[in-house]
Amino acid sequence: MGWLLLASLVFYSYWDVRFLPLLLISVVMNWCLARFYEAAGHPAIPLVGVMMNLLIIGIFKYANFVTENLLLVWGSRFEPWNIALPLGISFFTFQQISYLLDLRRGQAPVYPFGQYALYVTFFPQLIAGPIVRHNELIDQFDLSPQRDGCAERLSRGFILFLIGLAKKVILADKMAEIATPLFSLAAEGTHLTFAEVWVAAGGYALQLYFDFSGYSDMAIGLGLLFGFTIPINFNAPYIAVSVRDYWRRWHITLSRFLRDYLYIPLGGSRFGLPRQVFAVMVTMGLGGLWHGASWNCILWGLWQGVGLIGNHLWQKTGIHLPRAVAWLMTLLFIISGYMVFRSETLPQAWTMLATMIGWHGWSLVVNDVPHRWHVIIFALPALIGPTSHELALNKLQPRPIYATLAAGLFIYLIWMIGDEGYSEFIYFQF
Amino acid sequence: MKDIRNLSIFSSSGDWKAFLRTAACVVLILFLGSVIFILVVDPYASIPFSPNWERTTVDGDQRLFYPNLARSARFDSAIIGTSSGRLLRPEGLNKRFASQFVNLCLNAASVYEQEAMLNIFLAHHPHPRTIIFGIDHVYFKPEYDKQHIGPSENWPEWLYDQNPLNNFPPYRLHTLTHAWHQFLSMAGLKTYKYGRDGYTDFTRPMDEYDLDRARVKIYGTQEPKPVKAVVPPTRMSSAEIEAFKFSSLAILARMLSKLPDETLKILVLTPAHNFIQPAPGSASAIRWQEFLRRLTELTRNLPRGYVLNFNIPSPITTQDANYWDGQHYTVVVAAELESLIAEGVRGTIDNANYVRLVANKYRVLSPQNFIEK
Repeated sequence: MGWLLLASLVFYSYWDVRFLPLLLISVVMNWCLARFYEAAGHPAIPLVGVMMNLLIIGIFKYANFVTENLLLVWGSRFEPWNIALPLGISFFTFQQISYLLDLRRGQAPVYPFGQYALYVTFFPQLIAGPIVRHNELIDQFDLSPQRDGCAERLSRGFILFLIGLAKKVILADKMAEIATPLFSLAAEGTHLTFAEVWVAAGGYALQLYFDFSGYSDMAIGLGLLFGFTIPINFNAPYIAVSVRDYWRRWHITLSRFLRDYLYIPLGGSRFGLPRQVFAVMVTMGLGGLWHGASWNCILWGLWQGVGLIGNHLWQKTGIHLPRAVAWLMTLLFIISGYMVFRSETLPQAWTMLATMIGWHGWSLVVNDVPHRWHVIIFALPALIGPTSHELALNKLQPRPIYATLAAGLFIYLIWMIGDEGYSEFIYFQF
Repeated sequence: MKDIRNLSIFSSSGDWKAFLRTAACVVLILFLGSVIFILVVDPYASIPFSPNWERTTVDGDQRLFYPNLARSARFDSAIIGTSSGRLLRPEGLNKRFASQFVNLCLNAASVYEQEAMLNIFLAHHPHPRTIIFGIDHVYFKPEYDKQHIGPSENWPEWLYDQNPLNNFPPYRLHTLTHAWHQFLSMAGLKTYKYGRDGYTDFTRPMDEYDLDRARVKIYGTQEPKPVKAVVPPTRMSSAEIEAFKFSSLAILARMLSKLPDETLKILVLTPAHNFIQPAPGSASAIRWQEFLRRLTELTRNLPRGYVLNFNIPSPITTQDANYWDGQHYTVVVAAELESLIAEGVRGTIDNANYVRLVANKYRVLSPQNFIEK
């Protein structure tokens, strides 16, 4: 365990050693508060801890955004402070908040420092989640990685890691090559055509999914290599047939966190519809803010809230849409939200959304976007393929052909990663 | 989903051990196989102990392949510059200068990169017969002063630092692809379009030339626009002009200082389209004139040095049909330039509209000195 903790800290330092002290201070502070609570028993202590965690994330992630908007109300201009965002701060802060709140609820013990520190810093999930709960991971630290089933866990973990890596390196990066230039053009004020906006939207939806779920697969796969089970984070979100269904499939550990530590404490569905609307909108608005310090993110979160409430009201009518219609409507709703989320400014988002619905014409011309058809091809694994965890953890059989193919893919991905940042000087377009 | 905390129920652990063993063996075989393939084929001719086979340029990434050309004993002269010099054909210059040229111009080369290329050439040809420098906007535009002084993002410094201990190509897909192409080339299974003297026509065939498209590249629209003089002309104090920074000239001075006196040194200010040349009366025109002044100063006493300025309003630079875009002239112009450079150096040029000598106005008394051995 000591080695794993050390490896995790080295891993974090490798990204940016400047933030290692912050991570260590955060871990030590939260653990000390837990011990203090155990000794003193005052229910305010965990809340103080929560406030301190929020203060830390507030300073590093939201100080510029909040100050800029306050000064805007004041009528003053603001030069943003040069604050670098520590890697993974949103994840390790939320894990610790959930622990402190569970402690206060009497649902968590005070763990030995080593176990607690490893829980927070365990490198596979430190940077980009999943947001793991203490009782999902810490109990496993006592299990020997060489216990029965070791070879199977190693094999399945390797395959899941590999699928995640392929999602990131092949699928997500290819989709980024399509979506990023189009969004950049739109940000510069270029009016994209109807078809171009749809290519950008589809490309970005797939990029986001493959990228994020790829990281989660890698984290879960790496966890398995060490003998640990980490909860799944994505479950084919683009086959969802309602917004509610989508949030049960997309970033599952965050949805769970928001439900248990925001939505339910805010009243949930227990006090009538107005209170529920309030709880949903606050939860999703803050959920949006968690994703990024911008009005676009907040608006995206609120848009999700509107979708969830609409979903709830529709369910009350008892009318069932055909599954295909429900799926299509959900997907369009989700993609329209991404346009707000991805755009650099709100006017850009409005322009792109208006173009999507034909406000600026129906041109099917797509200029200078190579491999645009990949958007359709790459959508297939997201829509009809088995999920990566289903493939790696359920369907995979120990056949030599699979091992050979996986090894070949692994080496190919190593080559591709070697190519990262490499590009020829292709700048002639006569 | 299965509980994976304690898996051993679906198949015997022996199967999974075999699965892991197979995967590990295949990874090892592929890894070692690919490394050995790269080491033997040696796509960039950089590995000291690889078989001594002839390697050629098999891909457009000049930064990786041209060091091999720069080392080649087949040449005694070189063209150094950016894409604005790439269309100068060694075979069009060899006879005129009684030299064996290699064109080592790199797309979008920073001045740093040009010097690195020259360094390799000089390390293997300490007494070059002729060096032609293509001088363009990367030398004098202010935005390039910082950006183009250092290497570009993908610059393979390991190939240029003259340290044989780090001459192993990076382990990546591109290296393997290049090794594969090199293998096909060496086995005679495929030929590549890249010239053995560094020359490649990177433009489209002239019968595909589209004047409207070229005008869009030059002017931003299909309609030609006149050069607009700035009225009233921009005025700058001598102190402001003195404060102009041309970091590239320091590197150029260093490059020139490395060349022996007997080497013929030709500095060609390549012809950009007149529309993108500094507009009369503009601040950039003042900067351009100051650049010319300092360049003239730098090369005043350069032994066997010539500076030919084609970057002027001229029958070349005012004809849209001579250009693909603002910076890149056609192969027709390139062929004309080859002859004009030779004439300019001889001092016999009769069309002063094309060429102005901005420094070293000495006429060469006896052209035979270097045209005929």
